[in-house]
Amino acid sequence: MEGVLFEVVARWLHFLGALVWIGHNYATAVTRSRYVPLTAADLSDPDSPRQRVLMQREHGAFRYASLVTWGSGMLILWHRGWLGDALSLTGSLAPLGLGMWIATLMVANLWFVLWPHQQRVLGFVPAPIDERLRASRVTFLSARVNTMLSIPVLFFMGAGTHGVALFG
Amino acid sequence: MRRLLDSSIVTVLLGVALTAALAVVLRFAG
Repeated sequence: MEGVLFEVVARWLHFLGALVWIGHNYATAVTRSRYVPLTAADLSDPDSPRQRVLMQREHGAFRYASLVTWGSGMLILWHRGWLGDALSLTGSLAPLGLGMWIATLMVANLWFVLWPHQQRVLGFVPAPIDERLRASRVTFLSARVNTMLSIPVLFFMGAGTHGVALFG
Repeated sequence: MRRLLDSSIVTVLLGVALTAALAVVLRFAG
């Protein structure tokens, strides 16, 4: 009974976390189908409309949601005794394992590429305007890379349970 | 190139292409 409850709660957290995290990426991709780069004027004036919009956006929940998603996914694999085979892309766990590795890259991209640059864009870490502009391009590309990588991750998550015959 | 990468549609197309490529690799080389 405890095992079933653990599994259900972990899966629930996995779905919830993924929706909060990747939902941010998808919302941006849909609402801004073509990215308009920030300008020096946007960043040099703290009251510029674009900077105000940037500061009003949420900057924490989706990062922590990524950790909930990753951690709950790992716990599910461990709880089922699948972690070793998924990590080593062995047998029928190869598709799910591939999704897991791509998702791990996404978490690393978010925390080690996007967030340090985002801190410069927002002025949390002081930097000259040209450096902040360069950082804004990096954050955009980093977010788009994660949006792109989420597409194979979703496929291999689905294939992990329902697509075994595909990968025989 | 820069303008191309700024488009959401290009992001989705790249994601689908990557999915297909990885699926083929996994199916035939796995």
